[in-house]
Amino acid sequence: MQLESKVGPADLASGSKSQLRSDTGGGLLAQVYGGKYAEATRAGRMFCIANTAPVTTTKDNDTTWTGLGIANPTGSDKNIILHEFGWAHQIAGDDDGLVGLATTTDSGFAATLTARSCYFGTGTSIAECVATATIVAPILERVCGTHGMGAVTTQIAVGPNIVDLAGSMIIVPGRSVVTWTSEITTTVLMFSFLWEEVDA
Amino acid sequence: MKVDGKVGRISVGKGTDNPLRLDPQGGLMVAGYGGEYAEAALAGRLFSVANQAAVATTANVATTWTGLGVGNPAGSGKNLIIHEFGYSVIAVPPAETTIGLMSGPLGDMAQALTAKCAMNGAGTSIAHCDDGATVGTPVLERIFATQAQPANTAVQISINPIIYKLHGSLIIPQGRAALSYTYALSAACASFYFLWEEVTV
Repeated sequence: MQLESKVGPADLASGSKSQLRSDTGGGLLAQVYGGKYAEATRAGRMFCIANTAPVTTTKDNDTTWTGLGIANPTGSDKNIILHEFGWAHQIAGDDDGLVGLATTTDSGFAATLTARSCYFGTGTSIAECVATATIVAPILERVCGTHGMGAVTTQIAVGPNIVDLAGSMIIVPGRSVVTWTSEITTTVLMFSFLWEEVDA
Repeated sequence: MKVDGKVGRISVGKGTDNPLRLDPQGGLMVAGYGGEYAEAALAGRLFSVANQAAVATTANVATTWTGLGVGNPAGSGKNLIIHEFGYSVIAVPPAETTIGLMSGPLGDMAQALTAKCAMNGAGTSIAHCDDGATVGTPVLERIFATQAQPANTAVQISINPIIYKLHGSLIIPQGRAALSYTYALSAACASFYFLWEEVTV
């Protein structure tokens, strides 16, 4: 069976039936509606975490790592789909360098920070969230910006520092994602993650 | 029932019937149109609120909170789907701070600020929008910007929109609230806004 669509706008009453609509190139016209994460949020699959105070960050692939990280524990039977990574200076930086995301195993992780359901009361995360851990040397995967050391008098406001990962990084059981800075920063930065948990 | 499409671009006029179009991998070709929130706005489900003047903000997760918040009162029968949260500096800030978004129990938030229906006159919000209240202990959920404190006018001439598009990734159920967050105390120098949709639970 071949479905057909019709070119040009229709003027339809509620409850009426109509042909699908296409543009003159044959593309089906679709109205995207609502927030793209609303369905997953309502279903209790969306979670987030943030540092509750500025955090010191370690340098490069240091295994005595600090920052913000989330791990998918071995045996969880879930995949973690990363959607967003946010970061910001709380005070002027004490060094300049790169902000990125790295991945490693789940070794050294524990549920020391509590992941929040994005729909309060609905859903419980399997993720282990930490601000410090002894980890297996991570590998930098994404470059997300630069942390500077300009005085607070040089800019009036900065942002939004939200990296729209849009599901482009999936953390499987036994793996983790951690913040990564090329230089040590001392209680300057705060981070957050937004992710979805689905059956593996 | 099997539905077929046709591979390759076509060129057709208004009023003609044509098969659905596929790419060579079999994907349905779809062209988006219209705004993603237009349907909710036209239906009277989309609302916004903004501080009408610069607001002082409390530090961190204080329960004697000030800033801008959208609360969902108990028994409303609605969920609030948060789509956007925006921030702008109005005057030279007195302190540097991270800007974020937190949520917590509604507390005594009232309808101190009026939620504006995105289609004027089409709907009435149930939200309690307030710029200060005693709330239940909130939890910081998102970090997205920094406010600094330039001492003179030799800084940026303008700043790009500082709007966090949540795309519905935060839903406020009954008895809860979404609240602006600043890590440090700040005297009145900035305003916030929220854009949200109200749907039946």
